[in-house]
Amino acid sequence: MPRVTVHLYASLRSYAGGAPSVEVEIRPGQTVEETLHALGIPSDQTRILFVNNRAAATNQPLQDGDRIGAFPAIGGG
Amino acid sequence: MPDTDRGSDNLDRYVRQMRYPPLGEEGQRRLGASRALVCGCGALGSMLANTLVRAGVGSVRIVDRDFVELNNLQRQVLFDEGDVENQVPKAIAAAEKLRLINSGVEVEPIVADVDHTNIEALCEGVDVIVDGTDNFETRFLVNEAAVKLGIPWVYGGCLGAEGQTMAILPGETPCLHCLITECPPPGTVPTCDTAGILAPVVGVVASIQAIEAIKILSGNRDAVSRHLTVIELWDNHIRQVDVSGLRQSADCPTCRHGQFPWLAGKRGGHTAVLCGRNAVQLTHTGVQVDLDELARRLEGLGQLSRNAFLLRFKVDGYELTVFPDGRAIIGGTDDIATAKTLYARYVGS
Repeated sequence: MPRVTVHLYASLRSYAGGAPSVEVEIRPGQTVEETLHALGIPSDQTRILFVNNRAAATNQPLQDGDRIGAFPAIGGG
Repeated sequence: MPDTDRGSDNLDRYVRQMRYPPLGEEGQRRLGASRALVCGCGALGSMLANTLVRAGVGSVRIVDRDFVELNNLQRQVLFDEGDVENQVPKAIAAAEKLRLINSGVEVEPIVADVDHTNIEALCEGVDVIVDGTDNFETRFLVNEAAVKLGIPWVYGGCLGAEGQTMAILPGETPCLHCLITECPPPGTVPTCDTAGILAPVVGVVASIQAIEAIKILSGNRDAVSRHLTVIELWDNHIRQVDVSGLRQSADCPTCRHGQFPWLAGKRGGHTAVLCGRNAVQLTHTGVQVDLDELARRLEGLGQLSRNAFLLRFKVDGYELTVFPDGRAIIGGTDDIATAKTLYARYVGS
């Protein structure tokens, strides 16, 4: 099974028990959004997404070894 | 008495920063001839205004709709207890302090709510906009104005011990809409009032925003960061995320297609004072509020009740009634600015 690493930033870490990253198995062609949902992360919590350090859409399919970076939008000021 | 000669040619007070070669005297003179808009004067905005005025930016326009409150003083560096006691508008209080700090800078305070009717006028003549706002609706509006008018702006946000900042050079680097593809609906994003805020992260974010603004205003655009900076002070992390490819990959409605619905008033909030009820109604176009999620965020912050149709939240003598379509009635005030502040504070957006 292909595996990807999901790096979670700021408040999103609570979805991985506080860990900064988590490695997960995916089925071939699984999207970014599906992968985050599998971790229990709601779509509206991940406003900024990158795959392999490049901006990514939620429906981007993933490949073995990909690294997802997921950030919340920080709105205070 | 120190020599505080206000003449624009007197650069003595800036000698330490002019000694830094990338700035130099030429950069300092450019700063002195430039104008900045500080949009929002809370924690980030007061720190930004403080830094830009001390640095000698020629003219600093400050716009904010709020008054100084006691719980601001922990992090909003330009204000004091006297401002709280006298209920001074933040823009005015900031201007009074800033004029004492650097009388050679033209400080222009404007007490107003930034919306689609005034944002372009507020931007008139400015060379950079720095983000001191506390909500994404205003940021999306500012982003559209900046892109349309071709004015660089520097996004910044902070919460808890975390922050983000990114400089936007219209036509050259990704805009906020490239980075965040949809304005977060009200109730989905924590605010400083629901999640808390530590002052040091404000200083870090605002300082990065300020140096980007100084680079832009002093003629050093090449030095402007092409990264999203993500700060997690509690966990000792500061990261630079390369966003250089975002403009190509995002197919952004704002900066690729020139669509400006926030500027046109087709997105964002509208207000109405409810006569005789001591209440203000705020409506938001095209949003959905998840009342369950909002209830979770507000738990423990005030008196909370809800049913299938609405959520009611009482705090500090005010009553916020929030509906799933984003509409809200703010009871206990007939002041629109106060109502918007309460909405931004507890519902977000």
